[in-house]
Amino acid sequence: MMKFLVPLGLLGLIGILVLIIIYIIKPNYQNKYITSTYVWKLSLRYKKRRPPTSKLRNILLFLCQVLILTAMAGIMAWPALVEEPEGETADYVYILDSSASMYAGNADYETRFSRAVKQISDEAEGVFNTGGKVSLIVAERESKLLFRRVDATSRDEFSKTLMGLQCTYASADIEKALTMSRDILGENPLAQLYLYTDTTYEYIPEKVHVVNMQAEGDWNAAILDAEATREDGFYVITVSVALYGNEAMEIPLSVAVSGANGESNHTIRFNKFVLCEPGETNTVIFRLGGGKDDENLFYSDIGDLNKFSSFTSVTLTFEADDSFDSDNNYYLYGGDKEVLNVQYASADPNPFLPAALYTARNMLSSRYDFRITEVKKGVEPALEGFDFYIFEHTMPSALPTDGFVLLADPDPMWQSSVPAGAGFRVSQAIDLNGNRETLAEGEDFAGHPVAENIIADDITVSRYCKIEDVDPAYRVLLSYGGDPVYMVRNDGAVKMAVMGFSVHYSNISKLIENPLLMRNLLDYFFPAIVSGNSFEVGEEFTVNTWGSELEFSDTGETFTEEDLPAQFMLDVPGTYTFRQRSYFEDAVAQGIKKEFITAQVFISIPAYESDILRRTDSLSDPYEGTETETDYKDLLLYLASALVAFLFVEWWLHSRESK
Amino acid sequence: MKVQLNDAFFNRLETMSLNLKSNLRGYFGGKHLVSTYGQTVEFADYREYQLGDDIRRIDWNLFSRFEKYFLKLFTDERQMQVQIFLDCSASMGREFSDKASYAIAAAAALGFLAVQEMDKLSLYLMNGTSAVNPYGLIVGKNSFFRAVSAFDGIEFRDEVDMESCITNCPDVGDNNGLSVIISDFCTDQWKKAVDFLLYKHRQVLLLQVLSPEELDPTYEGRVTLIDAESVSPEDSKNMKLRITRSMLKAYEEAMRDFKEDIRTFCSRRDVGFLSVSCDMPIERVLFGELLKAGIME
Repeated sequence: MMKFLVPLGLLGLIGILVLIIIYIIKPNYQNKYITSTYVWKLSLRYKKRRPPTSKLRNILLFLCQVLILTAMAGIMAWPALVEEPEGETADYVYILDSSASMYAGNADYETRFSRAVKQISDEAEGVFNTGGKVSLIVAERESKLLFRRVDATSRDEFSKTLMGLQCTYASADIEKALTMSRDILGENPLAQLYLYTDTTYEYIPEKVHVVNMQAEGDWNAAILDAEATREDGFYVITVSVALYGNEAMEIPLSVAVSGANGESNHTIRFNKFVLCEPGETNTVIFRLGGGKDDENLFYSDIGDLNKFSSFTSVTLTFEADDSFDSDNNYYLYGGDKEVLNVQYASADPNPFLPAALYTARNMLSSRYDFRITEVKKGVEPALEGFDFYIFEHTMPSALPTDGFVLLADPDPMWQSSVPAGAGFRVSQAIDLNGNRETLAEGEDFAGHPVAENIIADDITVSRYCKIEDVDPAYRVLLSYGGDPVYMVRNDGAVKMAVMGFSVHYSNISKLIENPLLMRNLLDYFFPAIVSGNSFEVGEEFTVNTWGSELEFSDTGETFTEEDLPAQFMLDVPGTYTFRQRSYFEDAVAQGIKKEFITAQVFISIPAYESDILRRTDSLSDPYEGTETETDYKDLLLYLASALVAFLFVEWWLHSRESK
Repeated sequence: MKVQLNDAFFNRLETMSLNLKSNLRGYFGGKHLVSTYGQTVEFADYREYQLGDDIRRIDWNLFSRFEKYFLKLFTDERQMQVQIFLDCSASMGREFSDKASYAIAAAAALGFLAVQEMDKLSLYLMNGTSAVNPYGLIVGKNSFFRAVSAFDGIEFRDEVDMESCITNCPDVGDNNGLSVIISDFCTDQWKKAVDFLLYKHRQVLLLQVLSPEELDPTYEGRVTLIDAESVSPEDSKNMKLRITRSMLKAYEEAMRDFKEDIRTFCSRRDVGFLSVSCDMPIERVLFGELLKAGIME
């Protein structure tokens, strides 16, 4: 193969254009005035009849000039013969795209993946028969090299492995697979690479063979995404749907709401026919009162009878008999929030701590249904039946055993003492004589979730409780002069926080730290079991618990509090359930608390995979950099010789022209 | 080569005369000896007396010897009419003044020789389809020089149809002198004109004047040859040529055959022909070529 080492030199070919222009503008005939053309006309009869060599000569002259210019441009471009590196040509690398869209089936109910497997099997068989070598890379979320340059001796193993492959529901990292193939191509640059995929690439590197597994007539109607949001106390369902391939058509989108409005056996159903244009994404919104349709936006009024403020699950179905059915259903969960009962008891009720509580409630309203009970002054607060107890100024006679406790300002002047089992004691209240002293970060401040976004220097106090004999299970977050003033304890069933100063003797009530500390506390002690209700295959999400353990229902796997929070990722679409066991066994036994709190998530296939006819710009070239051993044989001498020859012919033709 | 028509030019012609054929009839008077018998003193022949002859011309010496009456005959001298037809087409002049001046000089020289012999001279300027004589019948040197002084006004333009010019000429005469056609003869109609003159029993002389460039073209390459007589660039007389060596050779052959054709035509009809190049000194033409051809003596 010939290659130009300085391709810019080919710009010299512009000279040919110039030559043509010169020929066009060249004056052909010059006028010559003579007395008479009589004799010239007679002379025509005397002119020897010769073959029309002059025309031929002119053509040859022009051709010669073009060749001279071409040769000169060629010399400038420095042509060289590429001597291919040595290697085996019967060496094949097969990359099998195992992305979810390869599940698309044809009229014979064969998936793209199964057809690709069969083709690779046939191809590999042929290669083995000719004594060649075969490599197999499966492009998944994490691509795998299954076979590396194996020959016919591994025929059976290869065939068995290949036939046992299953298509995944995730997106495939084709680029990673190509990168993996580089090692093989580095060993043998003559190896041929075949990519079996269903993505159409606009640019394909020269040596890469892409076998497109799309079949004629493939089409897909898909639910790409869905969410349930609350609006005026009722849920609104927003669904993104799309059509790929086929012609514009109306497709029914059905919605079934289970457990609506707290009635476990009640299911609400409604639907909407969606006019889909191929390649366009439409948004369908089911809401009370509907709305005005817009381009690619359709509203559906669910009607007064069908409105719902809570649900167990919502099932969405896009009823299409298409080539790919993994994205025709979608499920929504999380419509029935867990109730958190909160009790606020204070010897001197004030708006500051409750304000922080209400702000935190709003912040976490998507997760919990807070029910706050404020104990009136003089009324004895309850010590059981709540999930979160706040005692301000006056400490309880005993610590509640079925929830999280916040003890605020355990000042002895309120004539109460810290309940037994609290893990600390207050020796005295220290008055700073009206001086507002800045708090400092406690030894456990850095990195603690409750201290997130808190600036300790901003908080000042003029009086605080001197806390002593602190249980080591406490984490000190704020301190003054080495004395802890804010600390938390998360020790199994004992979940406590202590604020060692009064909001009346501090500036915290007017700082953002007040609601932030409350929000962080609630988030720390009542974390979300799952960080969402819908994820795509391969998408990471966080699981956590505020119970004694968390059980993953589909595998029976159990996580303790020490293992959590943990990152989770699922490979198969569907509904999964996480179940949290309560800490408070006594309360459970008494029927005060539920033993289990569950959370469900729906794992969908990636929306990207729904486009089963997708096109992508380009594919990286795995052969790039593998031709390090390429030699170039200079062709300058030959071109120079040709140039001299053309110049000679040009001179010779010119010399013949005047004869 | 510009020829000056001055006294020195004509003085050199004083000793020359036109040698016309003796069988011409001519007019009474003049200096040309003709084959008919006349009243000069130059003896020509004898013949027997016939009834009615003038007895004063009987040679009595012969009667004494032969006792028969013989008359003594003397040659006759006649005045001829010399007609010069000058081709005034553009090919003879316009851009090429040397050729025109050479033709005028030749016409003047021949005219001078005619008037010097007491012949009548008519100088016709041929242009288009007619030949005009703006100088009238010239007899004697005075009228000749008057005519010569007007030669500067001769215009060379357009084409010329020699056949029409000469056949339509009102005063061609009959058996009474010499007709000279001065032209480059780069046309096809001149032959009929010559035949017409011969039909009128005129002695005919053709003088072909060519420029050196016509005889030996120096140009080459791709040229559009524009004929001096063409009226527009698209005129069919113009031609595009790529002049190569072989083309020049063909031209040379064509020119040679062209002249040879005229010469053959003339020799078959006893017509005088002379082809000259205008770079040739006129004296050499007059005292060399015309003498050699017997036109002058």
